[in-house]
Amino acid sequence: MKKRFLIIALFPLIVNGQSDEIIKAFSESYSLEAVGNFAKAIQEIDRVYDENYYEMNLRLGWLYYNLGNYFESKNKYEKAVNQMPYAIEAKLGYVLPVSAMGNWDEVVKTYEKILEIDPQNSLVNYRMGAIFYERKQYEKALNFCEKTVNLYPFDYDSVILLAWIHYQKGDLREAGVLFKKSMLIKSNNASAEYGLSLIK
Amino acid sequence: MESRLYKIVLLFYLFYSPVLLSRETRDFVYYNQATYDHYLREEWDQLIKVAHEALNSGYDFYYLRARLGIAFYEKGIYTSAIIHFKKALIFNSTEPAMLEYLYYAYILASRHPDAAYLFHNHQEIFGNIRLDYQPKFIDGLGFEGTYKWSNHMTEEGVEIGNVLYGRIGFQHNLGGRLNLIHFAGLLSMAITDKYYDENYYICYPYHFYQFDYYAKLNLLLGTGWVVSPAFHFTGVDAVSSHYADIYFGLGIRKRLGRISIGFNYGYADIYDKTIKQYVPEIVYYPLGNNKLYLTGTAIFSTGDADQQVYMGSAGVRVFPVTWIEGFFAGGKSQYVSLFEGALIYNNPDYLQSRTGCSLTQYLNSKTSLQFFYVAEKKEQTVSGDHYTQHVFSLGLNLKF
Repeated sequence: MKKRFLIIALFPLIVNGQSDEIIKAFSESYSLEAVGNFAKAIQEIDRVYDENYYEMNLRLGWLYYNLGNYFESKNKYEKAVNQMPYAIEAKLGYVLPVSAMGNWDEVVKTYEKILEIDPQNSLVNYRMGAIFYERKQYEKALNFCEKTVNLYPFDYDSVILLAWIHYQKGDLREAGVLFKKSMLIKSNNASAEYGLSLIK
Repeated sequence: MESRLYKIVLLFYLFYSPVLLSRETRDFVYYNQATYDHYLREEWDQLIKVAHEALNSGYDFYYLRARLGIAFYEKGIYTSAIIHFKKALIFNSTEPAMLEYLYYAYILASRHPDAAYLFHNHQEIFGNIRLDYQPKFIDGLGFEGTYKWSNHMTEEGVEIGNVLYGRIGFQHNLGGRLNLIHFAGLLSMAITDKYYDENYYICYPYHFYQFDYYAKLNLLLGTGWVVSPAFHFTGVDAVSSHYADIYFGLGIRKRLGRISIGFNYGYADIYDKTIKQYVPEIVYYPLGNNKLYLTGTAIFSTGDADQQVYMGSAGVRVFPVTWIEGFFAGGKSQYVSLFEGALIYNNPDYLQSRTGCSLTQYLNSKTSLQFFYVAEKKEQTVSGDHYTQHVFSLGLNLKF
C-alpha cells in the first residue's frame, strides 16, 4: 500500500516530459539558495511550478520561509502536508513559518499529528517537552522529555531539559542526578552548574 | 539629440521614481516588518493603519494581533485591544504577556468579572506574574450614606419628610464564572399625618423604617454573555403596618466591541401591587473605553402599574482620576424598580422624573469616592401635591 502511494506521487513527474526542465530548475534553486538569493531561487521553481507537485510545494515552503515570507511559506507547506498526509518532513517544515508567526497552538497541534504517526520521534518529543516547559506545564513536559532521554540517554539537550523539568517540579534529587549526568556529556556546561548551585 | 534623450530619461526618473518606489510589494514580509518597525518606534496610529490593511489582505497571525492589541491598549482604546488580544490568544493560548495585557485591558475597561475569569482559568501562568490587582473572595467593599431633603408641605393629608439611608455592600469573586454583588441598607423616612379636627389642625409625625437586602449574581457564559439573577427584599416597619416588598429579576447582557446590550426582566411584589418589568438597555463607549459612555434604558411595566420610563445617562472622564456623569429618567411611574432592581421606589407617590449628576474621584487605584445629587420630582398619590426630593449621597468604594 505504501509502495503504491509512492508510485502514484512520483508518476506526474516522470510522464510529464518536462522532467529535465524541472530537475534543472531545482538544481538552479539550490545554487541560488547557497548564495542566499532566496527570491531568485523561488523564481526558478515558480518557472516550472505546478501546485500538484509535493516536491515543489515543499521546496517553495522552505525558500519562502528563508525569505521571511512566512505566510506564503505556510501556504506551500500546507499544500505539501495535504498531498502527503503521512509525510513527517512536510509537517516539520510547516511548523517553521507557523512558529515564526507566533502561532504556537498550531505548532503543538502539528507535533501531535506527527506523534500519531511516529510516537517515538525524538526531535518532536524533545520540542514538545521544551514547549510545555516554557508554558510551565511541567507534568506534560516530563512525559515528552522522558521519551527522548530513554531513546537517547547521552543526548545533552534532552538530559539537561529533563533535569530542569525535574527541578521545576521540585524533584530535586532527580534533577541533581541529571545535572551531573549532563556534565558527563558536556563537562563545562553553565546550565548544569547553575542548576546544581540552586539545589545546594 | 543624445542630450535631449538624457534629459527626458532624467525627468522621467525624477517624476516617476518616487511613485514607483512607493509601490512596494505589500505582502506578508512588508506587513510583518512594517508593523514590527512601528511597534518598536511606538507609532501606534501608523501601526493600526498598516495592521488593518494586513488583516484586510488576509494576513492574520499571532504577532500581528499582539502588536495591534498593544497599539490600541497604548492609545487607551481598550474595547478594541481586548478583541485583538483575544484573537492573539487563539494563535498562542498560553502566552503570559498576552494574558497579562488582556487581563489589564479588561480591568481598564471596567470588566472586572472577565478579568477574574481569565485569572481563574490561567492561575498557573498568573501565579508567576506580579499583578496590581488580583481577584479575591472579598473583592470590593462599599459604604454609602444618603440624605433626602423633601420640600413637600401640605395643610392636610400625608406630608413626606426627609429621608436618611445608609448601606454597606460587598463584591465577591466566587471563582471562575461567578461573582456576587450584595448590599444591606437601613432607611428612615419622616412622615407627618396632618388633618383638621373641628377647630384644630392636628399633626402626627412618625417615622417609617425600612431594612433592605439586595443580591445580584453574575454568571459569565462562554460566549461572552453575562446572565444576572437578582433579588431585593425590603422589610417595612411603619406605625400601623409591617410588610415586605420583594423583587426578582433576571438580566442578560453582552459586550459587542464599543456597545453593550442587555435585557432585564423584573417581577416585583410591592405593597399591594404586582408589577412585571421589561427593560432593554444599551451602553455605548464612543472612544472604546470608559472615558466616555452613553446609556439608554427603557422600562415597560405591566401588571398593576401600566407605565413606561425612559432613562439616559452620559459619563465622561474629566481628569485622569475623575469622572462626572449626568442622568435623567422621565415618565410617570409608581413602584418602579431601577438598575436591575437595586433601587426600588416603594413609596406609593408617583415618580415623575429623576434628574441628577454624580462625581467619582479615585484617591488611588483601589479607593474611590462618589458624590451623587438627584432631584426626584414626585406627585402625592392622594392629594395630587407636587414636591421634590433632593438626594445627596456620598459613597466610598474599596477594592482589595
